Amino acid sequence: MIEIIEKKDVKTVSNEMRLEFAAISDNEAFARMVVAAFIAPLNPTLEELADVKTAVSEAVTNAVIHGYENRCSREDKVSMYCAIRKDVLEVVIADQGIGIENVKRAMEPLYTTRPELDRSGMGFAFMEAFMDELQVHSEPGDGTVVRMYKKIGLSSWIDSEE
Amino acid sequence: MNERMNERIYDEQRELRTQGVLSLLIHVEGVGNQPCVHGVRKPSRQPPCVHERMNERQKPIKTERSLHNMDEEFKVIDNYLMIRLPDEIDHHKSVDISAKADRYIVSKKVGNVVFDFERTTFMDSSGIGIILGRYKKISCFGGRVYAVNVDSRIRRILLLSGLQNIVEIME
Ligand SMILES: Nc1ncnc2c1ncn2[C@@H]1O[C@H](COP(=O)(O)OP(=O)(O)OP(=O)(O)O)[C@@H](O)[C@H]1O
Ligand SMILES: [Mg+2]
Repeated sequence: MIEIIEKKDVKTVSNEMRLEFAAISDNEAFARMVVAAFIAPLNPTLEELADVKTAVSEAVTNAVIHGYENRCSREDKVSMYCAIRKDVLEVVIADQGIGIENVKRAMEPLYTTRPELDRSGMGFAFMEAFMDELQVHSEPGDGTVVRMYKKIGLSSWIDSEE
Repeated sequence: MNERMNERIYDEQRELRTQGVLSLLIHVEGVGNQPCVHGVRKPSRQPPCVHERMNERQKPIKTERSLHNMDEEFKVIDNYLMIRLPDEIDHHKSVDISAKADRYIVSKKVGNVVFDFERTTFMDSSGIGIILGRYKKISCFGGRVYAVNVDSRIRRILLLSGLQNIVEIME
C-alpha cells in the first residue's frame, strides 16, 4: 500500500486525524462532514467550507466508483488523513483499488471512463479549482492516493484583530 | 457576521453528529452489504438490535428518511418535467434522481427538464452528471434543460463544467 503520510514536516503539524471507512456511497456525506467538523476551529468561511466539502466528496466518490469499481462492498476501505499546519489543511484520501494507468490523462477535465454511470469527468477539475494544491499518486493494481492542501483563511486575520 | 458563521458551523457539527451516528449504525448493521450498483437497495430484513439505546435514538431519523417520498419532488407540467433537487446532491443521491427522471421522461414523454436548486446547499460533480445525462436523453428530440433558483455556488460549479451552453440558467 502507498504510504499516505509523508514523513517530512510532521513537526509542524498542530492537529491530525485518521479515519477508515467502508467504500460505500453512504459514506461520501459522512467523510465530507468529518472534514468540515475537523477544520471548524480554523474559522473557515462558508465558501472555504463548501470548497473543502466538494473536494473531499469528489475524492471519496472516485475511490468508491472507480477505485473499487462501484462494488459498494464493506470489505473495501477508504482511508482519510487530515492534518493542520498553522492555517493550512492537508487532506489525503486513499484507496487500494484498481489504480489509474495514466494520471495525467485522468486529470483532464471531461475525461471519464464511466460515462454510462453518468460521470462527467469533472471530479479532478473541481478538486483542483476548490483546493490550493492537488497531488495524485496512483499505481495500476495498487490503489490511488489523492493529497490536497488548502489555506483556511479567516483565522489569521481574526488573531491579528484581537 | 462571525456569530452567524459560528452558528452555521455549529449546525454543521450537529448535522455531523446525527449523520455520523447514523453512518456508524449503517456500518454496524451491515446494510452496506447490499449491492447499490444502481442505487436501488432491496428491502432488507430488520437487522437484530445491536445496541438497544442507540437503536431507539436512530428510529425517528430513519423513519423520517424512508417515508420521504421522492415522487413529490417530480412534477410534470405540460411538456416540462420539474425536479426539486435535494439539500445535498452527491453520488449517493444522484443515482436515484437520474433513474427516476428517466422513468418520467420515457413514460410521460416530457420534452424538457427544469432543475430546481432552491433547497440545494451542496453539490459535487454528480450534479453535473445528472444534468448532462438528462440533456443527452432529451436533446436529440429538441428538448431543453433549465436551472432555476441557482445560487452563486451552484452557478460557479455549472460554469466550471461549461454547462452554460447546455443549461439555461433562469434568474
Ligand atoms: N480512485 C481512483 N481509482 C481509479 N481510477 C480513478 C480514481 N479516481 C479517478 N479515476 C479515473 O480518473 C477519471 C477521471 O476522474 P474524475 O473524478 O475527474 O471524473 P469522473 O469521476 O469520471 O467523473 P465525475 O467526477 O465528474 O463524476 C475517472 O473516470 C477514472 O477513470
Ligand atoms: Mg469523479
